[in-house]
Amino acid sequence: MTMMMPRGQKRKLSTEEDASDYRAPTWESQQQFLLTVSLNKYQCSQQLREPSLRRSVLIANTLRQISLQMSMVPSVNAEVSQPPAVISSILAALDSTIDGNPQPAPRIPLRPLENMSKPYEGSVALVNHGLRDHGDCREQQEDGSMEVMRSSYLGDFTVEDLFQDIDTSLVDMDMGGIGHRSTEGGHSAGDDLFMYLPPFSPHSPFSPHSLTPTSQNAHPALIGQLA
Amino acid sequence: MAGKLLFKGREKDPPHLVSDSHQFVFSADIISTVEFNYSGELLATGDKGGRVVIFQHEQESKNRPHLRGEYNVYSTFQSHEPEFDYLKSLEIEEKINKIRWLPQQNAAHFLLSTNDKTIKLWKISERDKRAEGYNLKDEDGRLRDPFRITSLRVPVLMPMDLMVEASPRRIFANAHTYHINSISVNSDHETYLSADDLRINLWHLEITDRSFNIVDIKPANMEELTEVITAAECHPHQCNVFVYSSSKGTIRLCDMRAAALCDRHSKFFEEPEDPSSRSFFSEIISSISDVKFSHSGRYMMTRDYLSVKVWDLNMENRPVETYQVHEYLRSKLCSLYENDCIFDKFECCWNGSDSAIMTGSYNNFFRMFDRNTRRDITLEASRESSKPRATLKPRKVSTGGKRKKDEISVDSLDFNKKILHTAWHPKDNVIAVAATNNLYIFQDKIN
Repeated sequence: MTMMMPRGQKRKLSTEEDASDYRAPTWESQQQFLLTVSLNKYQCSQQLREPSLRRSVLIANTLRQISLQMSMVPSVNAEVSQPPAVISSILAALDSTIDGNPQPAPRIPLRPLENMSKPYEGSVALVNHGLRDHGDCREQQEDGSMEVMRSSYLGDFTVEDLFQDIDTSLVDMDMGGIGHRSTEGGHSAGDDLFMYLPPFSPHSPFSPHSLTPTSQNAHPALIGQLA
Repeated sequence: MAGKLLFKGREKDPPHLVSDSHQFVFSADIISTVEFNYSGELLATGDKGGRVVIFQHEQESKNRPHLRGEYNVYSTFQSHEPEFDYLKSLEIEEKINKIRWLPQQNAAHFLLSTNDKTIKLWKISERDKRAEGYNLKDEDGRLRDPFRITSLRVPVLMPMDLMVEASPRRIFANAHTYHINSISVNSDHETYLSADDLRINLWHLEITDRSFNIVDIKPANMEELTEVITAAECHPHQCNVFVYSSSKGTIRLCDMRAAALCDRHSKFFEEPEDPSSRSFFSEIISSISDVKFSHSGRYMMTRDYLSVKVWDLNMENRPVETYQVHEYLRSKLCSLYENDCIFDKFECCWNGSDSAIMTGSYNNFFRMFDRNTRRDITLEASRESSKPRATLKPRKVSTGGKRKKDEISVDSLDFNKKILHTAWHPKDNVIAVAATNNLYIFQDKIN
C-alpha cells in the first residue's frame, strides 16, 4: 500500500490576486475561472477512489452560488457567459452523485472540458442522449460518450436482472397484484418497480447508477435489499 | 513561549534524499492523528498506513534533574488494514482518523482508534515477568519426555525484558455509511460517540453489535444536501451533553436527556457573517474543521480555515474570542481553492489550564495564543530550524511590501508542509506536533 509520493518543489501560490469583490472589473472572468475550476474539481473527485462528501458538498454549494450570480447579472461578454441551463444540469448531475453510495469511477475517463472545441458541448450531448426508456442499459450505444454511462458491473444487467432477488411481495400487495397491473398497461414486474424509484434523470451524465433508490419514494423493502 | 526541542522522528526508513529540492516520503507514514492520554504519560500517533505508535514519557534522569524526561517508543501495532467494500467496489482506507484514550482503570491502557468505517478498542498491557520451571515443557517450549520427569517443581515468576502487547478487545463495525470524522469518549466512561458526515451514533464500550443513532441530518432527498457534520465531541463533565459542528460554520449543542434523537439542538452557535468580507469562498472557509471543549467545560473552541474561535457555552450569537491564524491567506483564497488547500482540515487544542490554545498552519508553522495576555507566537517544526535541545525561534510571515530579515513572504510558503495535528500535554507544557511523517515534541525550559 505504500507508494512513493514526491514532495518535489515547493508549491507556490500563483501571484494572481483574488478579485472576489463583484464590483471589480475582473469579476466576470473571475467567475468564469471559478466555474471552470469547480467543474474540473468535480470531475476529478468523481475519478478518485472515494470522493469526500464534505468536499463534494462544498464544491456543489460554490457552483450553485456562481450559477445564481450568473443568472442574476446580465452578461456583458457573450463569450464569457454560459447558458444557465447547462450549469443547472451539471449541478443536478453533481447532486445525484452526492449520496451515501459513492459511485465507482467510470472506467473510461471523461474528456477534460477544456479540450473540447466548444465549451460543454460534450456534456450537452450526454444530456440529450439520456436514457429515456428504462430498458436495457446496453441498447443506448449510438454515441461514444454513452460508454461512460455504463459501469463495470452494471453493463450486462437489465433492470429486471437487478431486482431479481428483491422481495417484491410487499410491492405487489400495494399494487394489488401484478396481474391487475398488466391489464392496465401491459407492464412487466420490473417496470412496476420503477414506479417506486426516483425518476432516472436524463440530466445525469456522470451517474450511471441513479437506479439505486435514494429518495423517500422508494419502497423500504427495496432500500433494505440494496443498502 | 520558548521551548526546548526533543526531536523524535518516527520514520522507520529514512526518506531518501536525492537532492536538495527533492525529498521522498512514504505516504503510509504520514501522521494522521496525535493524542496524549489523560495523565500525559503516553502519546499515541496514528498514520495513513493504519499503524498506531505509542510513545512513553521516561522518568527524569537523576543526573539532569532540570530536564524533563524524553518520550520513547513504547508500542507499535497495526490497528487497521485496508478493506474492500464489495457492494460499492471501493477500497476502505486504513488511515487512522482519530485516536481517543480511555481513562486508566487498571494496569492496562485502553484506546479507541478509528478509520473511515470501523472503530476498534485496543488494550495495551505490559508483561515483565514470565513463568519458568514448567514440569511438562522445557525452557524452549518443547515438550519434555514424560518418562524423564522424576520430580515435580513449582514454576516461578522471573523478571524478563519488558514486552508491551496490544490486542484488539472490541470491534465496532458496520454502523457508518459515511466517513467517520470524530470519536469522543463520554465522561461516564461507559459510552462514546462516533460521527460521520451525516450521522452520529452512541455506543456502549461493551456492546459491539449495536449502537444508537442520536443525530441524523441526512435529507430525504439527497439533492437537498448542503451541509455535513465535520466534528463532534462529548462534554468533559456532563455526560448528557455533546456538540457537533458543520460545514456551514455552525455548532449545535445537544442534550441527550431531551429526546432519543437529538436532531433538535438545545443551543445553536453561529457568528453572523460580515457582509463586507463576503466572497465565493465565504462558506468554504467558514467550514469548521475541529471543535474542542475546554478542560473546564465552560468554553469550546472551533477551528475554521483562517481562524480559531473560543465560544462561551452560554452565548450563542458570537464567539467571545477570535484569533487569526493566517489572515494573510485571505487574499489568496482563489489559488488555495484551485490547489485544494482550502479543504485542509486543521485541528486545535487547549493547554491543561485552558489559558493557551494551539493550532497548525502551512510551511510547518504552528501558532500558539495566550488567552490572558493576548500574545501569540509562530513557531516552526522542521529539522532545519530545530536542533535537539535548541530553543525555538519565533517565525514571522511578512505581509507588507517590505520583508524584514528572517521573515518569510507569503509567496514563499510551502503549502505541502501543513501541520494539521497537534496535541498539548494535559498537565505540563509539553506539546506534540505532527509535520507530515515526523513527530516533534517540544517542552518548556525548566529553570
